[in-house]
Amino acid sequence: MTGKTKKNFSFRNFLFRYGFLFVLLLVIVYFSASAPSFFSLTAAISVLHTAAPLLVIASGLAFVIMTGRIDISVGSIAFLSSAVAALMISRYHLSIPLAVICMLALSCLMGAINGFIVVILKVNPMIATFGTQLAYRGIGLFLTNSMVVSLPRSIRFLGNKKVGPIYVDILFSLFVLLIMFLVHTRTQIGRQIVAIGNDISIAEKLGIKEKKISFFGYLLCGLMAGLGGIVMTLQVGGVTPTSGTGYEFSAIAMLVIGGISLYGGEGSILPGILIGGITLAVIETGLNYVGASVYVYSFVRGGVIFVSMFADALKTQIKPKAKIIEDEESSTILAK
Amino acid sequence: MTVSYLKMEGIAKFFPGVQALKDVTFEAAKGEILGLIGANGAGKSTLMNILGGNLQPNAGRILIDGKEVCIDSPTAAANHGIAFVHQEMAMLPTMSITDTMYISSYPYKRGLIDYKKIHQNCRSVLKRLGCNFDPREKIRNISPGDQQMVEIGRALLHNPQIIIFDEPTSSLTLREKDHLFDVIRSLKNEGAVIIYISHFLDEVFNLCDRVMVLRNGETVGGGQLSDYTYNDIVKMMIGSKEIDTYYSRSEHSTGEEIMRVEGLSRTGIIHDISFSLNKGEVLGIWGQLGSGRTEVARALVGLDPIDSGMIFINIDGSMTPVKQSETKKYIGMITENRRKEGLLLPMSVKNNMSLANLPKLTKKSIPFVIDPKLENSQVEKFVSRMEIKISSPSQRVETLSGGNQQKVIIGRWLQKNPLIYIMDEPTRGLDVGAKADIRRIISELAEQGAGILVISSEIEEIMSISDRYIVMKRGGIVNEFGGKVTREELVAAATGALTEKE
Amino acid sequence: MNLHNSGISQLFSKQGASNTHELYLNWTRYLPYIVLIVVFIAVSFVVPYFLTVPNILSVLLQTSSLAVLAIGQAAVLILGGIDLSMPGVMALGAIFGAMYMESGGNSVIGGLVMILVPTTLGFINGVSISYFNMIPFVVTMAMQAITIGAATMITNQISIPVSQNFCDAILKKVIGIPLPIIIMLVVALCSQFVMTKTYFGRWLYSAGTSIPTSKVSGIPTKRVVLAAYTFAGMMGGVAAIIMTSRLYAASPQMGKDSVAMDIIASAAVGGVSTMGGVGTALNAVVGAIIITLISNVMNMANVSYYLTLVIKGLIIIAFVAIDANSRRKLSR
Repeated sequence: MTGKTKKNFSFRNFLFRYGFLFVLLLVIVYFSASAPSFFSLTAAISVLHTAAPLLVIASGLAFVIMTGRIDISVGSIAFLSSAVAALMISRYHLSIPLAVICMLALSCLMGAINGFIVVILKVNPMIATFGTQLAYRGIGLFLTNSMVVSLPRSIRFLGNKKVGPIYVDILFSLFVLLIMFLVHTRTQIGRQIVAIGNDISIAEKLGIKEKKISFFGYLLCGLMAGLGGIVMTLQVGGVTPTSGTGYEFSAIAMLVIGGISLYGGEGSILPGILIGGITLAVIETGLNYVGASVYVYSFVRGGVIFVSMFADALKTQIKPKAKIIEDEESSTILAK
Repeated sequence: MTVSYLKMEGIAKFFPGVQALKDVTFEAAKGEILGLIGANGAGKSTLMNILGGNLQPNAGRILIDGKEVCIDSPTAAANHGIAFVHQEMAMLPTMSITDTMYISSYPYKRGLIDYKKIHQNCRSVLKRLGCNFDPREKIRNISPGDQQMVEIGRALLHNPQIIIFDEPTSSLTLREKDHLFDVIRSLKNEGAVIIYISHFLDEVFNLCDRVMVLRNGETVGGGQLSDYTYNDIVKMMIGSKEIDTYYSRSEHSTGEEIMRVEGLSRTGIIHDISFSLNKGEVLGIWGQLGSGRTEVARALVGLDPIDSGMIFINIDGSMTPVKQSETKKYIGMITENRRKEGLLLPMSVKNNMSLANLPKLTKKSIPFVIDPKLENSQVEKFVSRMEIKISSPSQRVETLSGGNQQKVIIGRWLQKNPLIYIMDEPTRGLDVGAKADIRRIISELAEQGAGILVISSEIEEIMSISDRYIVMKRGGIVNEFGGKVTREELVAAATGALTEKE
Repeated sequence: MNLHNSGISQLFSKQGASNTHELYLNWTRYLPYIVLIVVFIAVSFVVPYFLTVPNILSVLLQTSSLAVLAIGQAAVLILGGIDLSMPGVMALGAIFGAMYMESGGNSVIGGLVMILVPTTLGFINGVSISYFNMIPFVVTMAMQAITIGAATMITNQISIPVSQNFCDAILKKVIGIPLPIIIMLVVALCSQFVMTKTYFGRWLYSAGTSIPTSKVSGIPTKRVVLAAYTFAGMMGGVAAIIMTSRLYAASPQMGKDSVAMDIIASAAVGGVSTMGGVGTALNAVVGAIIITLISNVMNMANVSYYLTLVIKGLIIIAFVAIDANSRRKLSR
């Protein structure tokens, strides 16, 4: 019984593991060449600033994707919960902490509804959250009457407040990522979520309460979507009817680029999501610098997710080759 | 003998429609290995699942160390010092060895998992099993044999007093098996109660001190193993039936070559596989699990890729090279995984049986359109020929018994009537009667001129039906034998003893 | 006798229930028809002129493009996949066709362009999913983003008018029935025939039930998957023609994400299982009629657009949940 596995250097595996770092580098070089002002500290900070709300949302979504499921309602959860909070503050003059608490409770509730439909009612996660995505947005549009709800001036500054040269929301999102990283790697729930992503029936056999844990994943995803909604709203200074549209898509792109497999069970919060988030944000900010039209974003984002998905599919196809176990000693056993 | 530590008394268990266990009583003492044997469906697993807390008995009681205990969950079982090493390993490929062992019971320190401690525990448990892994290694990077050690390691974490092994050797090589037996013996010497479930008598005779035989949910006998012979045990297992229910086939001559394989290779899996198959011949592939036998079968029909090699098939009298992706047209394949790769479970018997032959069931006048009359008559013909017990051809196939399901799959290929059949473990998990039926069908097919490649883990089975043998080891062919080979020669060749002598 | 996967073919079949392929032993099999009848009765109470021939024709005309899209979606769902890119693919096809005609091209070729572009995009979806083992919903979701992005980029969000001749030719009435309805019926009947009577259909259902079993049985599963997605793309093209002529223009608005919801809702409400292996083209058409009627009712009752979204979302979830749970009960 050989205790150590050989660690052969495989260029292919190396490319898969660090491929996106190269892509990121290439993208940065390209944009720096075509728009000289791109390569600067200010630009770097603005890239992170852009990515901040999505980093938070993606860190919650990761816990659903790592179980091998999906939640595409995150953008709508962010929208509806921040719309409700904005309405509470601007129209009903509720105190801000109370509004934030209500908002987070609401986002948890929406996550729980998703979890209930997917985990308990066993509806295909894709279709279930597709349904709730439209339902949540519908409710939000109904409540706001499809109008912009602005935040009062007293808190609007928070979205663009800086500590030194760095925006507060960057620090906040990094802090959230760190917490989620610990939840993922150093708590039983986080580990069990990965186990479920390996194989649901095996996880259940090992005594994991699969339904409870998967449900928790959706709940956490809802909560993070709500937190991301706060960052998003503060950055804009209000809630617009299109707030959060396409966020699910960007968040999935971030995760896939960052190496979190959509097949479940694989990937890391740090550095995974950070790399994915920065890559995506660099591309979008870069397009902005180059002066591309807004419509190019959707096109490019689609292309990026297509390519990263392709890499993910290839990666899962490389299974470790079944070893033929060496039997040098069997002959001696029989000869005895 | 020491006083019994574990006692199960009058255990009975009903499932809807069947009584799995009726009044089973047994005891086991510390420091002994009890072999629990019985044919499929005898109730071994049900009994052990009751002890392991996965099932609740309808009657009876369990005593541990003289005290009656209630085992209502796997956790309760663990608390009573019972550990269960399951036949199917529960591994988490993307996670570390430590995670796989501790997944449902992590210890915490300051709000976070205390990895330092559990890595250490893990390492020491694995050391006890004679393994030297880094506990942070991912499961997917270690071999199945090593995974089995992890599985056992998990059972040992809580210092159990009673350890149940359910068919632990099914995915092990010979060498790993010997190692496992050493481990089990050392556990016994440490004073644990060991219950060892197996169909393999040689394993039981090799390892166990005492034996208990179950049949149809009842204890039919048991005692010190030294008082019994192989034959006694087999008699108890199958009851009043004849011991030799195996179908033994008559000698007959074989015809011209219909398939030839040259130099089939896939790096790290199989290498340089060359053989030929004749008309009317049953060619047995014999080898240990993991010897590459299943991989060869799958490669022949394009289910697994190959790196090099040629396959020739006799088409209209001449041996023609056929591309790997095209061989399916000439070969009927029965894989070892019936439910996953053999059947469309929610669909009807009819849909399942015409599946491979659909393009030939079309109306003559309109292409592509299935002729319902032709389809029905074909299905009925093969249902009656195979003696498949169904209420109607529209019965859903998942409601059939294993034997009838397997016949549906064979019937599917019979309908297509290919030149060549490949059958990987065609009788796995079937009862004795169904096994004999399937073997009879294989012989009949050969007599009608088909060439058949059979893989089986049971040496008696492969010897009762094959005309010729090829023996595989470590991904290559090591020997070929004619019909007169002995059991010992086959086993020796598969384990490498013969080649060493040459 | 053939594979009877839908209640409707069951109803029309002479052999009766005891002899047919039974997947749904319970009432859920007939649910779509019950819903259709209930909705129908409810609407005819609310709208007195509902049960007149012109009105029914106008409802069917409204349904036609959705029904064609739902048939394409049904093929993919039966296979156990999903296609979220149908609206975008349709819009892009319509825009390319319209641009071709605007630049002075022939209408017939313009129509062909409208079909060929979506078919090609469906083919790309199919290749990615079958030959590269990519996850269907991500592939098609990315395709939706790419096509919509391309459509808005090309048009700058301005719709491209199509010639009157083209629209008149498509909207022409044959024996009093508008051509799109006939197209819908022809497409539905042909698809129904292929699905239930030919071995391609059998292959589709068996691949949707178990890919490994189908593979071992010698069915070219990759090609079946490819064919289903290509077919879905092609249906996007047919729908593009109908939509463009009804709107007299091609615009990126045709490809909104929420259209995908209507398509999937139609298939799911009609009784096509999202878990693969169950449903037919007729199911999709019935579903499309139900969804169109529900949209109309909500429109007439002045329900806000936003609540319509909520209600449709809930309808999808309810039907898929019923389907998932009834199938689980069966397989026990």
